[in-house]
Amino acid sequence: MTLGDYQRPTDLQEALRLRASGSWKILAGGTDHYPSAAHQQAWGQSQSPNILDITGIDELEGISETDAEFRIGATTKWSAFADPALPSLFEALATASLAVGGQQIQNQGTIAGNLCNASPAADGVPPLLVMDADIELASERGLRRVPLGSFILGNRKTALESDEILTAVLVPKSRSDETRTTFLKLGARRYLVISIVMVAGRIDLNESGVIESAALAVGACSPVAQRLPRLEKKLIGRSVTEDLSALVVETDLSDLSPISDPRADDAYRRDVARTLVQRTLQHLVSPPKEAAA
Amino acid sequence: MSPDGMQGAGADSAYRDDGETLVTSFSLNGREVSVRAHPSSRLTAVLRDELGETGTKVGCDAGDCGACTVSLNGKQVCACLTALGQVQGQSVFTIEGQSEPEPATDTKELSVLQQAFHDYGAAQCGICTPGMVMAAQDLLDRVARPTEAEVLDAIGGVLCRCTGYRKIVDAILSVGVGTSLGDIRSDGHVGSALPRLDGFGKISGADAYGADDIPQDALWLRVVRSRHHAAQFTLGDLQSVVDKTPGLDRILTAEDVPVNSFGIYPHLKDQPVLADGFVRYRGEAVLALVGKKAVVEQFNDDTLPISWQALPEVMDTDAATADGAPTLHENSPGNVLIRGHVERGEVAAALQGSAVTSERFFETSFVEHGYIEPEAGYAFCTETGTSGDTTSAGAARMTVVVSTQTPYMDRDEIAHVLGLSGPEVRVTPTACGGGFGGKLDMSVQPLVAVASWQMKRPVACVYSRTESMAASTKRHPSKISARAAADSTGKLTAFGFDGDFNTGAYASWGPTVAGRVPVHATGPYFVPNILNRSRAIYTNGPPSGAFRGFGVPQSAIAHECLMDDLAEQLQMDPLEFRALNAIKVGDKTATGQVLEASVGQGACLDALRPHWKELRAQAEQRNANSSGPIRHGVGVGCMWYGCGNTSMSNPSEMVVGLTKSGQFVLFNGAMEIGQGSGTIMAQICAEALGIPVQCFSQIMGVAPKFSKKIHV
Repeated sequence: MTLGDYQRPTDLQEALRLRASGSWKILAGGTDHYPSAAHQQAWGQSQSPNILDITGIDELEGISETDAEFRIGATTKWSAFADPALPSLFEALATASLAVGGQQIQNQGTIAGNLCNASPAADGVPPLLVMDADIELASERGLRRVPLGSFILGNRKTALESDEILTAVLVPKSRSDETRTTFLKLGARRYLVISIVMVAGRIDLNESGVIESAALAVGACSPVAQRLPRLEKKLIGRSVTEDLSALVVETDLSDLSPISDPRADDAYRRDVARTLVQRTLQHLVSPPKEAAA
Repeated sequence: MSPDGMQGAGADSAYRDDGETLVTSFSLNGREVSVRAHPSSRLTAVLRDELGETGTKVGCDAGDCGACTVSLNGKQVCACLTALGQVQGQSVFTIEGQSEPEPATDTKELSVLQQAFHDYGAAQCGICTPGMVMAAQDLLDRVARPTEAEVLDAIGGVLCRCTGYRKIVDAILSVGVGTSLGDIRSDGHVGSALPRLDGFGKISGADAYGADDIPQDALWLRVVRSRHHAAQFTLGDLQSVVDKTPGLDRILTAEDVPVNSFGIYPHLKDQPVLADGFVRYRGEAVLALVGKKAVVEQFNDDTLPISWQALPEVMDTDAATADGAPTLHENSPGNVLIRGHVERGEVAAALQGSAVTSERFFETSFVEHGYIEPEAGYAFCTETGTSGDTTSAGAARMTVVVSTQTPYMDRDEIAHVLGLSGPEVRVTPTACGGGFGGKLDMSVQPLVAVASWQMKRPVACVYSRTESMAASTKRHPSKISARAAADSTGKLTAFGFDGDFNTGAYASWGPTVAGRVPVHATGPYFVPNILNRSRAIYTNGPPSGAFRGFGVPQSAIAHECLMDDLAEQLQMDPLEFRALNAIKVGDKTATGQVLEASVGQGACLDALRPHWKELRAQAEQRNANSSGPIRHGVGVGCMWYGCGNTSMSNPSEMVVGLTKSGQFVLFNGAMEIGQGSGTIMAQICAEALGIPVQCFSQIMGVAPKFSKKIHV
């Protein structure tokens, strides 16, 4: 019986060197690693992976900005998105962050962990999809940048190479006069619950309140959260004074492939997805005083 | 711990075997500590096992329950998700740091927040309380006067299965606004608002639960469980596995169990301690690995020489009763464990002749109790004198210290398994972190007892949450077909009920469910014609056992839906329909029992009536004024439930002793599991004797001492 190695470098280059040098499981918030370790142990299937703990690398945590984009460091915690100084572009992500676990999880879980774990029900994915986020991947070979939609390949599958570390999520700044985002989640209770369905939405408006671009993403209804391009296209040119929810038709959601599991069956998920998409559009044009899914 | 605060990890830490001595230093409750342990160890394990600070509880090791909530650099986190390596040089506060020790008395005073928990009754079983207090303190440190919404957000990550949260929220809010209930202490007789007599240990984190006080020299036991719902298996050479695995002392099999069967009913001991070549549910215990903790925890079961042959499984009552279904237990052909039947009058005729009838089908699922404390305990063999208190054990040869609802039943069951007499076994209950019926059945008890008996060493076993969910009993899933009828005035005329209850792989409390359901299935109403039938059916699900109401809550779903249906057909108010039919003094129940004393059903509905009317009017108004997706409604539901054991006598007695120093001692046999029996029993006793409750001390649930020391 052996326990694996554990390294907690404070320098990114050192982390990348280690990462390239052997087989490592990357640890940050621990909110996925430890639960799976508990499950494995209970069924006599313990593993002792070598742990590369990246929480000692200060440069990986926090939100910064350039003229063109926001940079969300890999180990930025959910609770960082509650910062009221962040622009409205972040509102969907901030709302999602409050729906992840309880405050303990929000203080521990990281944005990179949520993406690399690649759960179909990852609460961070739909908001980041409507933010047109890119993923920055670093290795000793250099940096590369891929759109979020190309990074998550399937249920628990990502494009992360074995020598790479996800270092940041990059979000382009909005160039419109006004940007609104929102997020709705259906769970069996308010806290400590995995999403049955979630929807993130975004509209960019010109000065007369006409939609210049729109984005909608549905999570927990397919192996990877999906944008709804057909519906998004219909929204362009519409005014925020209209009832946008009336534009939603069945075929807008036909690419979803929800499963039946203990949380809900596929038909219920499909029904809820449509309802939440409609409510998302209602919230975007007239934000409710108290959001309720 | 040693003077410099240094604690060593177990000698089996491979990290140290590799030649590296990694010491992690951090501030714990304001003092510097250093620990030698693998840096990927959970902070919970380090606090509890290395530093002996067991106030931080382990409920799930997965961030789902929040019982292990601590403060890391002023932010609440789950210690079970925190790597020891991440706290190097950081500041950690736990429940032990909430209250300052009083140097003079070596006792601790509760903090203001803890005192509020005590005063408001915010701690019941107490297992979530340390985490709840830490989460609340995190909020109060940031926000002096929080709103209710902020309180809910702050404690949202901690699960409580007892309180319903309301008292916890009130306690936290009271600290913010600085209100106090004041001195609510009184003579403590029945009806007075008395803070729990056992509240201090729960709120301070000092109470020892099943996993909190395990002897240092105990061996650890981990169960190898079936991954099949139904299978046969044969075992290869296990001794060679033991021989080549340092730190693994023994692998126990069915052959090591003196009498390999247990179960609630004397004639239905159908569950093996360790499966004997045949498993009936996924999660069933097959082998027990005994040795050093880290070794048995990390052992890979895939390396064991077990040859499995999966068998067809039956997962629900329809499959189990279908023609040709495999038989789970030879003495229950067709997989029907037991039938219940209560009949009076002529139901078929009455249904036919009534003004209105309703018939519906209901299905409910397995429900897990979800007590936040997983099953835990240890055993030591008193004969060898290797550990524990041998002097006061009397004739006991085996002592089991365990979290349980029923120390006396456990004692007899353990004695049965070991082939001993009852008095040869002593069961010492620890504080119990929730039960809800689930800790009426044995879990770790027979395993640690057999292992300790065979090995003459103390042996401990602590279930993980995953094991607890897989192996423990559940609420019976039900399939219910029910029908009811009323005459044109609204009087009930007939009620019929057929319910199949999935009792899982083993009998457990299945007969109790099958027996109680037909007695109660009509609900608290007078019905002249009744035919209620139930069956408990074996399947390859986990064993269904006791869970708050023994099947009666499932039945209540059925009878209440039928009541609403009939009221609607008669265009009667649902509450008035129930009031009209409420069972009252002098009425006969389904079994012919005449209710001679008080029957509260009518009085309850009378008390509800004004609120019901007001709420219905409010809901109507809100719906008229709202265009959003949220609609309001008001419902009423009634249920009844017989206290004590159905269809058998219910003797109970209370024994009080008087010590030489003049202190009354109440021997309290009603195990405190969060329901308050540690307080109300003393209150009843105090009132009966006409003295203040403060004059009593209590001894809780210790059977052998109980029988010896009583007789006033």
